[in-house]
Amino acid sequence: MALTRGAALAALLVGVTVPALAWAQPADAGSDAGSGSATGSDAPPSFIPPQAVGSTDVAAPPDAPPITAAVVVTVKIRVDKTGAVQTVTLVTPPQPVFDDAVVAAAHAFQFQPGTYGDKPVAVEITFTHTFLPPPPPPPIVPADAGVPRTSLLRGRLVELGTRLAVANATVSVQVGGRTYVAEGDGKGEFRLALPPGAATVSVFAAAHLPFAQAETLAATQELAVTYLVERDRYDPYEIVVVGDQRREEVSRITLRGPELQQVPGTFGDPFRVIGALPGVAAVASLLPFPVVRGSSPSSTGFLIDSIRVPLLFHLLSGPSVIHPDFIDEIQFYPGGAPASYGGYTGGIVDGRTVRGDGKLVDVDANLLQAGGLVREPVAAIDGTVTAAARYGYPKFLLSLATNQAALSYWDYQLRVDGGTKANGWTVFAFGANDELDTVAANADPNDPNPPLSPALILRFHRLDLRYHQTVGRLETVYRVDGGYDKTFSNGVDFSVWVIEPSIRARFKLDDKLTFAAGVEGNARDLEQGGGANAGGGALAAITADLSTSAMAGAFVEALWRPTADWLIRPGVRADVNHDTTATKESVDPRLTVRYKLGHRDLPDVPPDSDDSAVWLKGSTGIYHQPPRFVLPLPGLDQMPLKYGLLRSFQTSLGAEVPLSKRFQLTTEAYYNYMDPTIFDLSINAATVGTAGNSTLIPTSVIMQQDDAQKFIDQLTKPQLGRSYGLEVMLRRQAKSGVFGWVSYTLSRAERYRDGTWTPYDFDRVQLFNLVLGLPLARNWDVGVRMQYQSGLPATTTSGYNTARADGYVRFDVRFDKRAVWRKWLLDFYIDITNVALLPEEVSPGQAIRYVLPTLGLRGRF
Amino acid sequence: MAVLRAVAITALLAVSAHVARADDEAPKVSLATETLAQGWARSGFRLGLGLLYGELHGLRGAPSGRLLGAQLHVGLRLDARWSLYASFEYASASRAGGLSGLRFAGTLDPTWHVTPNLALAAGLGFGGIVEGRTGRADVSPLGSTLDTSYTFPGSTHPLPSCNGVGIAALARATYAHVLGPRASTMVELEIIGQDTSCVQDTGHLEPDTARPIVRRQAWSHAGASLLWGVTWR
Repeated sequence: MALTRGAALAALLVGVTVPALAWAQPADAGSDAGSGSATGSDAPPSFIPPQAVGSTDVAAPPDAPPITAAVVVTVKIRVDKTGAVQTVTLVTPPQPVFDDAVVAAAHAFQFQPGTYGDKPVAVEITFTHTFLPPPPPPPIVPADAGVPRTSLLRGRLVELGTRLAVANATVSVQVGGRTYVAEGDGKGEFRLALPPGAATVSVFAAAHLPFAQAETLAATQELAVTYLVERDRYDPYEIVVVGDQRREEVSRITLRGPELQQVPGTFGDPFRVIGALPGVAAVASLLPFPVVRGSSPSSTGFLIDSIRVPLLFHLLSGPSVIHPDFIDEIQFYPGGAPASYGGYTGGIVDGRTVRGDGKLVDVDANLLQAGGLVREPVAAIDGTVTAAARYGYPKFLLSLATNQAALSYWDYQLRVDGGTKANGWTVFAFGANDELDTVAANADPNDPNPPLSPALILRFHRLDLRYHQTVGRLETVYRVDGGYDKTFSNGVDFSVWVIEPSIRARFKLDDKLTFAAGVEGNARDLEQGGGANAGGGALAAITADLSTSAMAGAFVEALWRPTADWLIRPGVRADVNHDTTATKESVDPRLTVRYKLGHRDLPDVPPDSDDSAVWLKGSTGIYHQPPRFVLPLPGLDQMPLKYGLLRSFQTSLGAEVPLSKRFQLTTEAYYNYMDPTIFDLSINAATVGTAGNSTLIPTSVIMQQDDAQKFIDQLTKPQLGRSYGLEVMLRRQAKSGVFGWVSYTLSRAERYRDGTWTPYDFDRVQLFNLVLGLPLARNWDVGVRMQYQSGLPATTTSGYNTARADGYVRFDVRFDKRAVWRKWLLDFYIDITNVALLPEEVSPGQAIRYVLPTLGLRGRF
Repeated sequence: MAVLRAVAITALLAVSAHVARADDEAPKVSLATETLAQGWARSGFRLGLGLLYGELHGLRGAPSGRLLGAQLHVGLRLDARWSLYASFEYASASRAGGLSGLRFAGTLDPTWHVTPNLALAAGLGFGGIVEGRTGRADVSPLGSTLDTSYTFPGSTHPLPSCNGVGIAALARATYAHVLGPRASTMVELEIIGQDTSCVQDTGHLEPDTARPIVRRQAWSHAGASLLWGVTWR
């Protein structure tokens, strides 16, 4: 008969299922996710977790095998508003007989419901039960028997690495052949009277590895100890809120936790994960310029807390300019973005930052860069200061190959948050600088170590000031951000000062209707330096017209749930863009609708929640944007308005089906019509050489070289475009355990050319992604990613884009190991992109094989 | 029972009041709960990184080269006797007039742990070669095949540049020395064989199809390498 220990009921709150707790759905309608302002009440309400009524002990199963070591079973229990247990989900790896016993017992538990602001709420808690092995003979000594216990062992149980208290542990001590047992309290403290002598101490705690230590107690001695107990797994990404998120969007994919930093082939960079999602084709597999549902890369917005980032990736294709720890989640809209997002006719990628809690020091280094992040609560402002910086040193690696060039970059972020979640403020400053140096123009050609001078500088700074206020049911965010952008290269020297004020508000009328509205604008002052246009390139003819520009816009939308089965979200935004060449107005009505087809009875999902519903969803809307340069460069993004606004009509229809084990199947068909699209990224020539003796033509000259005017015409000529396709995604987004997705997209992206629809230069008909993350014992995480994208169109003698290059397959792997030291954690990772060196045809006839290994270390204190 | 509990509490309080205090506040980590050998024989994930040095010898005219590079082992220790690893090797292959590029391979290696220190493995998977410009002389196909892709019947006159992949196999002996609960160090001797379907890009396209005109040749290699590395569990 095994000895069972009273359960450690716990206390880990991981989810609250109240719609009013809007931090589960931040900022879509104008609230500020970064500040976490959207709480929907005047003062922060208090939360009281559910209290167990009656015993939560679990008897050892009679058919259990002999227990020779502690068996720990952890489950997630979802307690509804009435205190009844709704679902019980196993967290620990399978231990069949013991799992069944704990799950069955947990279903019978009774609770007083948890409350939030005095209102009962559904809550998910973690419950752990430990089955201990039977005590060895002789039996446990009762307190009043055996050898006189004149010594005292007291101590604290502290988690190795994190210094958190290890609550509700069992301390077992053997002295002189007898066993003495004590229970630790919620603070990890214990006291145990013992006879003097050599003592063998064992500690068993839920979700921790067994602990053993030897002590010697003298007579009448009180020995105080601190034991560092190692957790069985230190998960770097503990997703906090997953429960019962209310659906408000149609096409949005939200990435969190390990999905942001542990997807192979992304170097731990959250924004690069977008390339593994459905509907996203690549210009080339390593370049982070996504072709979202057939739109040119400059039509997709990369945002941080809804503001545009002038340069998202260092050196255009390196690491992102924001430290990954600042990004709490990424919201990706391949289409159907709500009215609050203006200025883009393609997709939206919005990185959401969050106010951090608690102290943190994080230092990381890999082959290309080193950086750090420090977070410190400041009581004086009732807030937190977070600072981070990184320095990239690819020039050291580059110097091994050449002394003709040098490459470096840096970035910084400083965020200060103050006030409460309901009423508070945020100051967020961030910036980046990239520099490529090449041999100076005046260098001696015979100099073996020629002097270098800047050939390319990309730089920006941003200061973002926010104040969020909650009055009753009205949440308002006042915001001003401004900054400086610069791009310098041969013949290009642009500097832009920019300021962008905005006010956004969200008013919850009742449970059925919420309104959101906002006004925003920007003013840009562009200067072209002395070196600009020196090259007299084709681009200069376009950019010569650029100087100051301004934009003003407003939006209003409603989130209406007329019944529990419908969500209707109509909205409209209007924008006026102005520069020295033209003034352009636009009005964008948008509508998204969800209809609940029914509910699925799933064991691990609460009934009647949005998570268990089968949804039919659709969207339609108009989207405008000013013309932008084909690639995002600081200060050189917006092109003269005289070329006109880009416009797209986006429609989609799809369904969401929840499956068991936290799987979800999503499918969506879409049709986007672009009228017009301007400044399309385009690389294929209209025709190939067909001279009589040119059947064998070197690849490099097979394409006719467009002259400058043709280049300008190609960029600025308004075109019609369309894209349509079907996206399917099977995804597992769990609070722990395996995560990942499989996605498939069948699509076409076309441009109307010479009286017919022809494939767009970056039309990839089939896209397939497999992402799998697997946590293992001893703090290992293994990730695998497979990507297939069919080939790009190619021009032949039969005409423009009448053939296709080969598609490519890529396998990426990532291995993370977390080593635990007394006061800190050391992460070690290996990320290998294209581990099998599979070839990729980057242009017709030009296939490359590459492998990109990254080795890194990261310390968290 | 209540009486006994009261007596016990009273005794405990009495003891507490009179004992000498000896605070031992230096935090302690756990003593080993198993031997190092037991821990390393336990099933679980393993990852090893190593440096390799060796020779890849070309057969039937294929060029040879010296190997210098890195190896990654990942896999599962299944039990005390068996492991299943995947190995990835990336090594520069170079020699004047011979190979000049990267040799890569990925194999699945069932591994038998003969003793706690000695393991034998056999692996099968893919292997390839990526070359840039080399010093090897060009070899031209027949004139009539210049405007189409061409496959050479043999490798007596190797292509001036090879980019390709094929099948690779290996046999490996590993001697490991445990450094601690987290890491061990190892020395390995590896015998390798590889068949590569080489492709040389001519820089030309077929204008009617936009397909590259290439030359193909099959290369065979055998070789050996010595590796030193560290494994983590």
